Amino acid sequence: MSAAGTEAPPPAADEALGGTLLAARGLAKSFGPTTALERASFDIDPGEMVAVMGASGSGKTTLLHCLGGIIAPDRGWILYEGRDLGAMSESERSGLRCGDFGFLFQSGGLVPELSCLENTALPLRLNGVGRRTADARARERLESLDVDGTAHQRPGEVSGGEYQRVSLARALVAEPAILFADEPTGALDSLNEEKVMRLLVDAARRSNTAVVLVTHEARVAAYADREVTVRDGRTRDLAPGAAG
Amino acid sequence: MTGRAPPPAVGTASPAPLRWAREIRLGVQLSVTGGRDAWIRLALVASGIGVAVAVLLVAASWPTMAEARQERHDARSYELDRQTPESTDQTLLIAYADTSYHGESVYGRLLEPEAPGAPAPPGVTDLPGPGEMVVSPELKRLLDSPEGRLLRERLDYSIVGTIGDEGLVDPGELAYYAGAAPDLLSSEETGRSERIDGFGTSRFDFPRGGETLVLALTGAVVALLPLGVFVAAALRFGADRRDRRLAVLRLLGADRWTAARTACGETLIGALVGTAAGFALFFPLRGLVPSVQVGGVSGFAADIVPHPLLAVAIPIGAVALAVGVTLVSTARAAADPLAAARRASWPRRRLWWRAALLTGGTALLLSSIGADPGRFGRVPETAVVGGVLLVLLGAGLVTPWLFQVAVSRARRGGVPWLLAVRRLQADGAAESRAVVGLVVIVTGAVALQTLFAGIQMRYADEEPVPGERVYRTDVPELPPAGAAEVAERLSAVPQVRDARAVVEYWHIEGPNDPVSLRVGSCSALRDHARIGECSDGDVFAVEGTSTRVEEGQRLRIPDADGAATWELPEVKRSVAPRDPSGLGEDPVPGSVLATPGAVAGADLPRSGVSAVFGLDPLTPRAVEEARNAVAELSPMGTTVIGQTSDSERERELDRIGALVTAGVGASLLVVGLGLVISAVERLRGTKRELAVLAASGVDRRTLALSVLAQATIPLAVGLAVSLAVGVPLGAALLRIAEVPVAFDIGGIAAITAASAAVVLSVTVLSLPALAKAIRPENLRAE
Amino acid sequence: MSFAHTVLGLLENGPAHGYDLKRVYDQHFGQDRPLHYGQVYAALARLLKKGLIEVAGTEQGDGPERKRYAITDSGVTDLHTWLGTPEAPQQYLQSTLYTKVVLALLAGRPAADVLEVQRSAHLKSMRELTRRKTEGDLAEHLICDHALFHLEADLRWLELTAARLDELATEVNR
Repeated sequence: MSAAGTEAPPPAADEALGGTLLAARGLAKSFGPTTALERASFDIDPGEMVAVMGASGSGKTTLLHCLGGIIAPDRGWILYEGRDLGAMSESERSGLRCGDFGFLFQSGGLVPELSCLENTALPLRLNGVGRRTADARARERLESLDVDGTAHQRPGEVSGGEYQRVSLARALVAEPAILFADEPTGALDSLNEEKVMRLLVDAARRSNTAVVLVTHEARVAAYADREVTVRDGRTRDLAPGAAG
Repeated sequence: MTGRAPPPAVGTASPAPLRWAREIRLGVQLSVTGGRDAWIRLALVASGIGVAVAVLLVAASWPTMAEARQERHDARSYELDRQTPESTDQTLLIAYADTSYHGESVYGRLLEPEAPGAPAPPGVTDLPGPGEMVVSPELKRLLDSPEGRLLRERLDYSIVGTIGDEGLVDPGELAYYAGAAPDLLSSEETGRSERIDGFGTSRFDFPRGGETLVLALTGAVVALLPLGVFVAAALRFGADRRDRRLAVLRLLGADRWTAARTACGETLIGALVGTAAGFALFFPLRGLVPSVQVGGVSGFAADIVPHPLLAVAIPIGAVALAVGVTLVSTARAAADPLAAARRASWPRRRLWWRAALLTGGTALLLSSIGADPGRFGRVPETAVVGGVLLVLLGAGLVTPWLFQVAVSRARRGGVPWLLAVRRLQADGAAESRAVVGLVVIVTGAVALQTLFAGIQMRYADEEPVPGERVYRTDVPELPPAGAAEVAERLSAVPQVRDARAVVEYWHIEGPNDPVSLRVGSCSALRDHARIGECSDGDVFAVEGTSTRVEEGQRLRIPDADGAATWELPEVKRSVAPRDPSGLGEDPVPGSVLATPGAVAGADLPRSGVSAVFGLDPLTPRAVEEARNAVAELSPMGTTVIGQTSDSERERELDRIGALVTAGVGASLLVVGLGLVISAVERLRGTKRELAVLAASGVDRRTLALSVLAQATIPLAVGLAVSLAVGVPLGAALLRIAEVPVAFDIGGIAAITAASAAVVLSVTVLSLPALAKAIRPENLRAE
Repeated sequence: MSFAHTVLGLLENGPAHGYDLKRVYDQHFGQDRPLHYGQVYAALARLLKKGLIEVAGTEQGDGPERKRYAITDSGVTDLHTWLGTPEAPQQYLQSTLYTKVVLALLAGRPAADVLEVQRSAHLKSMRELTRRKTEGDLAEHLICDHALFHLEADLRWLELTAARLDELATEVNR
């Protein structure tokens, strides 16, 4: 993540950004000839829920991958709690993703061979929590999302709504500071969409987890506190005050 | 057909055979137009069948090759029992002059034509003159090399030509024909030379040793069984994908048999290409065979012609096996298309019939132990082969059951372990299959290795003590004084100890029955009987002989020029016989022992000298030097025999051992390949899940470790079964061959190490696919 | 005529006073604006005149005269017909927003801004509706959803129009 472009280098931690949990400026990312991101910026406060909207191909998923430390942007910087993601090693970023970040994807995130309980306990076990403790906490989490009945089933044996709720349980079980959700309800019908979204909002609010919610559906985005629109790789922040 | 006719549904428009052909063609198309995966699958199936067909073709050439060997062997032999012909312009004097060199036997004959029209042995155009020889290409290579220096000293003739292939049993044979010095050879019965008027003899079969037979039978079973397993495994490469394709066909409305025929079409192209490849591979393989000796037997490329019946049966069998396996393995997908679309689950595995095979095999083997004690070559072959086959198959089939039990019981362990165990538990079919092959092969190999260890250990036990007088040489056609000369010459070799020699006369005509006579110094005679006090001029009679020898008897000793006669002087005393070399020779009937002084006036003819000696320090080189020393005295005296570890049999065991090692290596390779394919397929199939895991912070090391565990578990289970079954199996075979049981720890360690190497390679080879699977691109919905 | 039909529908459950009707109506439908008492009596008077309801009795109490109204057979038939007749789908071909966009394009003003501002406003009210529905009961929930889906449809139109603004500009200015 070299700041080779015109962007200013990341500010020192105590500067300007104040209480911002995650801040990014001037993000650019190309895949071969395709430019996915071009001068994207982003801020999120602790406990805040921000929807990232945009048409398909607008670069919103790439933005999420950059913010989540899954891929490194070509230009620009990302600060998480004052630490520059670009300056971290791959294993440091892995550790961050495993502990401080949670991820929820549209579908297919669960390991098909593990039971739902084992899937949910996975992040804890990766963080070195013992099997018993991890299982107990995972079970609690499944209960809170009303899917404890699936604990011993395989992901392939549960319904789409349950699948996403188990995925949500896994994303939240390690109590991350930020949850990155990429079209979390994209594969669900309206009823299940609503169920998952309400559970997501509730859980995030209760644990003061910030949520970056990538979606192209206004109905889903409406759960967020505010929207950021990505168009042609650039972000436009629709601040609440701008409406009128 | 009018324009309004509905499009023909699958399987209604044309007569059955035509329709079937079309369905099979559809299968063929599917197998070659399915992109890279389809080609990989096709290549794997074709190469699997190709290798199997090629190896089977070589194996099918065995009878032809053995026949040709025997024919060449017979063609250069000559009848020993026949009446010696009169000397004519068609006769040849020939003498046995075989020797050994570092355990390798050398076929040798001395020739002396009695006329220009004398016959030449096969492969020799011009008979070598005195002091010349013709040699086999392999012997020439050996003599020209530094390793052959001692042999070159022994065979001190100038090389004037090579022996053609038709005069050699196999391409690796060491052989020479040397021209004898004038007057060296005679056609007398007493000598080693013969007068013959032509080459060629009728069949004579040699029995093989019991342990070698057991080894060869086990080896054959072990070698052929994996081929079947291999072909079956090759046919299942990428089977998941094919099952899904079939399911789609069924959902589109194809009936069960249509789906099955399409699947057959898909396999058929692989089987046909594979068979063609097998035949194509056979020819280069054929060229390779002369350089490879199988069980001490090699053959000329030209001899490797498959038995015609087998040559037809092999391709038909391969294709039939391919189609059969396909029909069986697709039966479920074809019958229940939705099941194939779902994730495959474990079939229920039952233990009883698998265990029954194992038990049956064990019972057969146990019944063979001590079935026919004491006589090698009379091993109950059917029971042994059947028993080995059943035990190997049983072990192979018990493994999936054990594997399933092992995997479902595994609970503890870290995340990589958990991922691997659950993956194998969910769908371990591919691994399970790969392991069956492994178990069959490695169990067989472990059994063979145990068998070897036992047999080798026996030879090791019998290895002579340095200095022990177990070496014996026979030098033909020396004058009576030759005994002292031989002893003296041998003693000149630095490592030779206690060399003593006697001249031996057999077939002496006495007044009652033939007797034999040994002439030598007092010390040399002590080797043959407990003669007690002795001085030159004494004569002894050996006790316990049925023929009485008494003072004054006239003994007639045949000779080339007639016969010498010797009147028996006073016999000092009757003495008890001894076996000089411990080689198990029976006491000679009617034996007379005489010191040189006693026969001085008799003008005895030339005869064979027998010397006994020890070697200290005992080195292979010392044996060769002793041989050279003897050869200096007579070109026909080229043999030194004795019990050494450096024996022909040992070399044969070594060759079979090398073959087993190659077999184990090849099968581990196949199993490894199977594991790589299933690991890579699985990684590709779950790339989305893996990408999500990686995005969620699961580091690459954890995922790589889970791939490692995934390869380790099946191999560990397989090895455990192989050792648990193979070692007792080898012990049982040793008991059958009546060899004390011993275990080859080194060999077992080597197999374990090789398996560990396979596991590591599988993991390393899967890593690129893993890296590809966890790329963030795979996070995006398809 | 839908308000009168609503009153008719409420009466099908059994005779009721005008005041009861207002209370029940407010409970189910009056979230945004409570009903005026006069509206109820106007509707009842119209229904009486048409013979769809009748006065079932008058109670003399302390307060004003209280009449109980009941549905007639023809009233039941009329209600049945009304419920069975689909509403004509509303046509928004000449909506205000469309007018605004075209006017902006004609005047050379930034039409995209018009759309963007509208989008923001739509999203804002969607957020409010979402909050209301997550806090409210099932009835509240369903009503908010109805509004949300409508707003979402508008929003889609806004997005599509934004994407086709250049095309529209050429058409308008031709």
